Amino acid sequence: MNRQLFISILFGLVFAQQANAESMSVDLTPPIEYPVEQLAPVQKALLSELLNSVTQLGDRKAACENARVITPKQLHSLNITPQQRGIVLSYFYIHQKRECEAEEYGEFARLVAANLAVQKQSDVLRFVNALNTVSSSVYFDYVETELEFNQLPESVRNKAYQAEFLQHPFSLMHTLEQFE
Amino acid sequence: MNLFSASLVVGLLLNVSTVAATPDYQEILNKPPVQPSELNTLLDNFGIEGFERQAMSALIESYNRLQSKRKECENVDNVLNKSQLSPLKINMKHYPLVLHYFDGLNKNQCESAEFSEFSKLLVVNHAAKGQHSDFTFLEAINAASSSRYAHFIEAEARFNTLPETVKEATLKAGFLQINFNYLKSIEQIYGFER
Repeated sequence: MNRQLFISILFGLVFAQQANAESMSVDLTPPIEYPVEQLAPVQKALLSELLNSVTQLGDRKAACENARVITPKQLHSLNITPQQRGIVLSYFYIHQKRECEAEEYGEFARLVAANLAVQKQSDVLRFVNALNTVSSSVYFDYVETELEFNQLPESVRNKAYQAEFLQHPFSLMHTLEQFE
Repeated sequence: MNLFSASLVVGLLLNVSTVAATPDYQEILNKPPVQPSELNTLLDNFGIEGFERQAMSALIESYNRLQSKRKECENVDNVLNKSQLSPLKINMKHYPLVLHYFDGLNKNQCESAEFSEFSKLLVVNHAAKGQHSDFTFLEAINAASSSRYAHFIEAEARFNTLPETVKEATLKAGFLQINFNYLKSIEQIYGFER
């Protein structure tokens, strides 16, 4: 598992994801505020919408957290190597998160893109970037995880797709703890 | 012309010919779709490798789909005419604002799936870059795709300043919420000569 994914999971557990952009610190515990009054009308409207969207995404992320642990017995039934197990768990973990927060994340992404296109002040752009880094890094990790998953033998992928216990949200951290 | 001026002219001509021979990313983005060979050149020029290259390729392919969809959304056959608007009993001076706003709404909806995919890929590519990375290409591809949402916010703000009776009447008009050809509708309603 790569470092960013591990960090995302760790922060996700306690729901206190944070990112730093230069001197700015962003705490993704809603609500996040920013002095939008100083901005021109269009910039103000778009940043306000983004802040609302972050709150909604944060609530959704919290609701998507799931403490369910996949047991060693369930994983044993897949008959895969420990290395394959890590890739399979990471892949399905992010996949379930994506599914669960798809609607809120879609709206957030739309507003980040629009804000990056229209905001003019550098500190506002840094703020938007910081919000995005917190929420989107795990999605970039998914590109890597998906590639690793697709390189697994077809038989492993098929077994994983057929495993009912992988098709719902679960706690990756608590699941992996059992193998330490 | 003295020697100095002549060398300036030659230099300028050389410069122009170089630019013309190697179109930059802005030129490529301005003429979608980005062809596979152009895509590879872009990624090579920006030194993008590995997973970042894969994520960027996906973004550019998504950009192509968005631009294609945008064109499709613009070129609809549905043209509004004056007789559809007359029953709404609103002052003709409000027509441009009303049409502009509903056109924005309809276009947002028309390209919703493609823009959603594009924006997700864009923000992921953004998040993957370090704080001091070169964002010029991402900024360019985003400006070409997302700026219209700023124009829509402006259109929405202006629409909201219209009298309540105008807003109510137009929001109830189902025909305004079906994607229409904005330019041809304006021509039709105002009777512009082609």
